[in-house]
Amino acid sequence: MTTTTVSKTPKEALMIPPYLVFYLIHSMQIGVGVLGFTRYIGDIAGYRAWMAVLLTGVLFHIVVWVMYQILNEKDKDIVSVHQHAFGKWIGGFFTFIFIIYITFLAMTVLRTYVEVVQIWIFSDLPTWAMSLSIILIAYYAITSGFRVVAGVCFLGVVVPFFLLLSALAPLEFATFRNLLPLFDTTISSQIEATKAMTLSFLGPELLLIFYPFIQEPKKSQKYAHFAILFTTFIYLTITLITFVFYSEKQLATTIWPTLSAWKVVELPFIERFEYLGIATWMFVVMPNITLGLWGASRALKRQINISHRKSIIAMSVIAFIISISFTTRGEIDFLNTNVSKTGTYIAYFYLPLLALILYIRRKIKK
Amino acid sequence: MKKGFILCILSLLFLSGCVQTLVLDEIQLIHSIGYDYYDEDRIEATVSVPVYTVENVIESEVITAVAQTSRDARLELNAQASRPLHSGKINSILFNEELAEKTGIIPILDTFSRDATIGMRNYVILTSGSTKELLSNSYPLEMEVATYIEQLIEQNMERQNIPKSNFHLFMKYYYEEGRDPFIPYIKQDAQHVQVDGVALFKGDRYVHRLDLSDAFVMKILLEPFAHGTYEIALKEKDEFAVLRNIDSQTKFTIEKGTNKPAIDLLIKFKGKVNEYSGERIDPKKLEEIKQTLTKKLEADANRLIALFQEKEIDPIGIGSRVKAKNYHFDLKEWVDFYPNATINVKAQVEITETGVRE
Repeated sequence: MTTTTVSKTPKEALMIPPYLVFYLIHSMQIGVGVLGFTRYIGDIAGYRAWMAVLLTGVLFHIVVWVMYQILNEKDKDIVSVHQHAFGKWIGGFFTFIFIIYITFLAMTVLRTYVEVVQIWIFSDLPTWAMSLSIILIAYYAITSGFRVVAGVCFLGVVVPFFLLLSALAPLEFATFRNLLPLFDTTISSQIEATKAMTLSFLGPELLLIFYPFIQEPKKSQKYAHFAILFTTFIYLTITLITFVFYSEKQLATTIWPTLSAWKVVELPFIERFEYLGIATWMFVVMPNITLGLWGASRALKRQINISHRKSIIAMSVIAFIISISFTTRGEIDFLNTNVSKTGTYIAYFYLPLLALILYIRRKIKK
Repeated sequence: MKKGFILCILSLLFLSGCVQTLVLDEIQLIHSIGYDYYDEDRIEATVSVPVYTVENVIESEVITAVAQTSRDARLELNAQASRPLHSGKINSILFNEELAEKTGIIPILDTFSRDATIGMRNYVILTSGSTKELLSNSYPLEMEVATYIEQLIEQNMERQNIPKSNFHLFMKYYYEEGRDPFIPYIKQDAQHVQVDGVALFKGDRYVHRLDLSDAFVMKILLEPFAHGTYEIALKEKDEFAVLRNIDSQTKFTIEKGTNKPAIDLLIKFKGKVNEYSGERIDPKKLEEIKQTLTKKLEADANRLIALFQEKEIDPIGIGSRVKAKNYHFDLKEWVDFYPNATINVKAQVEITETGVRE
């Protein structure tokens, strides 16, 4: 089922309807970041940091718009855009950077998820065992083709949906005045918090690779914007609930605020809701890894003209090596920070720049 | 593709051997843990574990150890247990009064809050005497002491006079600016464990105990829709009425934008007469009950707040309310001002029912 030809447009049977773009983008954005991002933004901008969530949401609407501007010209992906804009060698170089970036983006999610499992459930679970089995599942999905990858993303949004209800349980201990005074903040701290928030919003860049797989891609833009809107809504809800649940200094001492808040969920049939939550979280994590690896292998295949099967194997091995080379909390934090930084530059600076270059080239040609 | 799938299944199969298992029959679940003051730098830890007997009756047993920190204590405790002790089912953490007064309880609670297996709904409780004695005693009402304590506290918080408090709330209030934590206070007599009010903390040090009647007033100041009962003495000799709270709320009016605000409290009490020692309640009597109750509520609340100010503690979180109204909140300035702040309490009483007899 794997495409062995190096055609720019895949076969009709492999394509997805435009509305699935909503699931692809949304599931790629929600990862393990949800479990802990409130602490980082709370550290920077205090309990007024919910504004940064909205601000990042707005910025990502612009990022999505910019990406569609880049791609809408012809039905092409980042590889041909790069070749078109910078020529074979420099363009290829940028594509490689992009491949490395999305591989690391997927591996950040995987490694952090394994860390969560190690801390909360199985303290002696070796990293290689967990990441190997997850990468194998992702590999299996990717070899079955893009439609299956899109299916994983769909499940990754629908199955964990019930967890949203559990997010309401902490409201029993809510102190709403934590959010007051409402606008006691500075612009600079909000910008800092927006930077920290960016990691949790990263993921729509994959659109640059799967764009040719969308039937009537121009129609999919509204679904992409809707995905960003939904992500913003979820993050905002979680931020507000976390802020009323913890006091400010208490939040600063909690590594996984969203997870720890599950410690107060009381259900008659399960004593500890976290275990159910962490297990279900696998559905949230899978799209990140599957779509990330799919994107990396697809771009690699397009760039160096090898069969997709070979590039999937190559990317899976590389991903596995990356995931086991980060072991301590400090190293994982380092990974998170740097992926976040790279993603920030790519989303906010590189993509608009690329759009500008393409625009200018088009003008000159005319 | 089939190969890949088989590989997945295989890997999952051999992975199940990688992790240490925790089979319920092979571990010893701790149900309650107590800490006592031993000497200046040592504590005594007591854990209560359930013992399942053949007749389906659950009894409890205790293990005790003396150590420097709570983690050391864990080592010593495990050294006496035939099966590994597991803290996933702890439902109450007890501290003895002396320990909470002299060394503070945060160092111990901190290790609990780091532990992923511990729930946040556990009760943190202060005991008047030794927790070791309290946990090792057997009580005729209940077989298992930990369950007894848990249900006792739960009942008293949900329906009686004790304000809501648990592990999460303790940590939350401890870290909150302009607020101090509080926990239920229990004491032991020969046959029972008895809830005996609320223990107030300054930081993590125990400073004062409120009795059950004051706990009711504190609860009204803290929580809307609180339950609880409150007794008032009426004019005539030996005449009294017991009121039950249905729906009460305290409205805080705080001057905006200053660290030294004027503060007014309005208690809106809505309740019913539960017990009355006299013959019948006529409108005149009802009016008298209302008047007396209003006066007593105001007096009690004023006395309580004066007490909080004198001890420089803030269990009802006035400071955090001031913070919410001020764009330039300065904790130090507020803390300096708090003991001398003028805080006025007014009460509004509404009595809806007088029981099934007139």
